[in-house]
Amino acid sequence: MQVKTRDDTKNLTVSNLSSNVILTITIGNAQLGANVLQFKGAPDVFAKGTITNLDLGPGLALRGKTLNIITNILDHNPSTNGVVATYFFSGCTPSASLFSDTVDNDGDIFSVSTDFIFS
Amino acid sequence: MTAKRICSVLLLVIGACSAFGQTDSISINDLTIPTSPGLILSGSSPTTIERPSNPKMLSLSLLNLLGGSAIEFNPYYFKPRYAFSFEDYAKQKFPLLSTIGISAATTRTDTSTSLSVGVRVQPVRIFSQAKLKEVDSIKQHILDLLAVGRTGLAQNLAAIEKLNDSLRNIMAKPTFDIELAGAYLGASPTNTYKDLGAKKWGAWLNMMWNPHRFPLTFVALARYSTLIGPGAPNAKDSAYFDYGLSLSYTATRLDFSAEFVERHDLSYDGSYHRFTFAGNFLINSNIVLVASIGKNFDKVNNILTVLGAKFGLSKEKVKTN
Repeated sequence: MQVKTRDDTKNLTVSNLSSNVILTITIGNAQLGANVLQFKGAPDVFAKGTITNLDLGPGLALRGKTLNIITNILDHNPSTNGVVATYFFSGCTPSASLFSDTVDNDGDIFSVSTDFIFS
Repeated sequence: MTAKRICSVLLLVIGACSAFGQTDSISINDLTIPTSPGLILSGSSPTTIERPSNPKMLSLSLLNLLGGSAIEFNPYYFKPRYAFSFEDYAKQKFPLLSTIGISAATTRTDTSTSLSVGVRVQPVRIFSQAKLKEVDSIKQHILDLLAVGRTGLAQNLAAIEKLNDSLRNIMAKPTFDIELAGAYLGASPTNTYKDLGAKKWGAWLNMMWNPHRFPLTFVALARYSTLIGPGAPNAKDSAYFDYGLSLSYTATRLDFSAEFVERHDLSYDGSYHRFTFAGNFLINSNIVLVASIGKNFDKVNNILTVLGAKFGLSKEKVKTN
């Protein structure tokens, strides 16, 4: 079993400063995946596991911060080696960020680390 | 139902089936749908199989295929399925598109060329609520091991691999499922595709009922195959229809299986069948009692019964299955 890695950076504009930003991460292609979220400079992990409707806090407070999300996707589905994920940020533009790649061998893991920079 | 009662029922089944006539060497495993029907029909065993994951890779694989290779793909995943979660997949009762598998192979020599194409699909797949709970439990363990940083992930790889294997094994044995497959083989007497002509085609049907936490598994299978085209010989087994039933029981110390296969030779309008029963009883970690009964010989109405014991000197635990 091998782990393929990729590091990304995405810029997000907080479009609604007064309301809270809510994050949902979905893993597609019938694969299995979990996440670890940590704000840059923060000593502790903010959240981990399956992320559904996670409150990241007020939009105004997020501006200037960077949220690092590590998503580890296991290739469980024997019909495809494709791994995909979607990051939905409510109150941000763009509201959805897509990730798509493939593992080299059946049953491998893809670990994608993305820095989401809020402005 | 106790093991004793199940034994009695099976022995009655054996007795009933023994009243049939001749048998042949076809096994129930021969009727099982092959993973890649297109490759099986051609009789080729390619060392590498290309698995394109998008249309661009498919076009390259098809070019390679013409030169002599093998491919296997599921077109449903050519487009990323962002919203298709594992939970959706597990709860799909009619996963026609997500389980479709297409396989193809070509073989080329100086004097001949052949092309085989096959399709396999699982139109019905149902998991009981109890089995879905078991799936969910293993899935949650995997997710817990994945919810770590990269250093932690490296330490969890062995455990994740083991759990993924367990989960795949469970997903491969739904409570009830139906699988269908078909394959076509074309051959050319020259080394060009220009003279390609139909040579053989086949179809498979598998039905399995595997009640959750119930020791018996019921399997029904059917297969049809025929040689076609102007050069098709009218020999034995050039066109046949096979069907079979299988029953298996597995417990801690006792396991047994019974299978019945009937073949209709459509070329000669004749039929023959095969019946076997095999059982093992674990006396202790070193001794296993074995028994087998079978009508397994063509043109002869004999019954073979073997009783015996297997002795092991290894310190490893002996499994009866």
